[in-house]
Amino acid sequence: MRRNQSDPATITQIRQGDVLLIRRDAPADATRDENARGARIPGERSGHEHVIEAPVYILPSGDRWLRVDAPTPLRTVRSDTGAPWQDRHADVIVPAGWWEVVPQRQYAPRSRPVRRSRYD
Amino acid sequence: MTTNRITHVPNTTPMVLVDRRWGVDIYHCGDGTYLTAKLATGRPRYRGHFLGDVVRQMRAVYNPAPSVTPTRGRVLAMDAEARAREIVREAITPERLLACPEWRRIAYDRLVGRAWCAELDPWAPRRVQEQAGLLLQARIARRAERKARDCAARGEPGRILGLVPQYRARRAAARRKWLETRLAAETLGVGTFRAAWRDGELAHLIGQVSGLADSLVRAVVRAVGTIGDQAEADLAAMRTNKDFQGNRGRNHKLERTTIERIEHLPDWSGALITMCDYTQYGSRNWGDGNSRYGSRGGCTYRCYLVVRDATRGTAHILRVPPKFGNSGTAYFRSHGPGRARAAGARRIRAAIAWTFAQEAGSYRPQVEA
Repeated sequence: MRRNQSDPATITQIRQGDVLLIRRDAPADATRDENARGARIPGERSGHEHVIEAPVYILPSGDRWLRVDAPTPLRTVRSDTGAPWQDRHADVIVPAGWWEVVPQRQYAPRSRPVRRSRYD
Repeated sequence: MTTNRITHVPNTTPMVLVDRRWGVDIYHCGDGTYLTAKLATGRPRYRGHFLGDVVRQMRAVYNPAPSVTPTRGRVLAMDAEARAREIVREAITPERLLACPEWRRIAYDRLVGRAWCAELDPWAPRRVQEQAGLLLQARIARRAERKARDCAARGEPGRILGLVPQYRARRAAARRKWLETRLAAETLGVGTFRAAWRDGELAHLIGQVSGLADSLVRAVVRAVGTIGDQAEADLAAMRTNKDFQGNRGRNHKLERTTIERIEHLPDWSGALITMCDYTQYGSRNWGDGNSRYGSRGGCTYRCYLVVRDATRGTAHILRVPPKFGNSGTAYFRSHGPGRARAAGARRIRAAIAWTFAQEAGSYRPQVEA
């Protein structure tokens, strides 16, 4: 894991494999999604998922951001059993703040767009 | 025939020397006739209104060996046949014979053996014919050698062929790209590539190139990171090019796939592989309804980004838009100037940022795992 020796408050982007978390300013208007406990982003094809538990808020534009109140780990788990799978990617501590989850994408012409992030 | 053999010429006749052949001077007389003079002992003299007639008469008598005496004086009139015959007899060379389209055709037919052509005989000495034949044979041998070396067979689906060819300009461009690819692999330091490229002619044979190109992609991926199960699946997808299996019509074929360019970051943490699929629309069978479309087709670019996983060091292969590797796009041109390596690294970083929907400058993760 590569980590700069800087203050966690100054971290603006965190990457774990094919997931990028981008720190955002607090939105003026956002509604909490009561049904979601966090974000779950499937990995490519190797049977793992990136999981973070934090309140999910829905913005007027339809985007979903995470509000991390306290430092929270971003973990890698098995898709089938949900067991931690740190061999794939090391855990990353996400500092408090508003974060947008951006899954990595590929160029796929002539295919339907697939939203890979799930909030549940 | 207006030529008369004479035995006496009055000394008062004004004469101008116009030509000299076979050691005999030919003068243009004041009355508009031509006269052989400088009366050598025992040689007949001729007089006529046309120089060609005089020459023809003289040739019938004298030994018609080629004259080594240069022509002097003013040639006032000489018919085309005599002039051409003289030029061919004295000055023709094999190169000049082959430079003229008509003579080249005659020589080709005569010497390659397509047909016997008697036209060549009076126009070129046998020595010139033989030399021209040697030149032609050398040309044909060189052409066959180039063809065997450069012309690719039709690509089997699922194989990555290495080189292109058909037209001279494309061939030169393909050779440049091939050299770039070779440089990239040698930078890699993979022993098998160096050994294979030491005898470079093998690399141009299509069967060898196919294997090399497959291996080259694999070696680039291996240089970025270890190849896991997912990278293996991605490599297989690169070979099969499933995107081309769409419903484009039964006469739309994939001709060959070539490696267009390979670029990498200085520390080999990322690489960009651009491949080119050459397609053909139509049939090559003459006479069926689609044969006229044989020239239609084109090439499409596929661009693959290879990045290294920060935790395990495995290589990930991601397909990115072709603008990152297609030199014909405005994006590539706008990011291309400058030193080639720096431009490639800039585009690779932009491609990595694209996979996260970010601009090149705004993608700066402080923590990676």
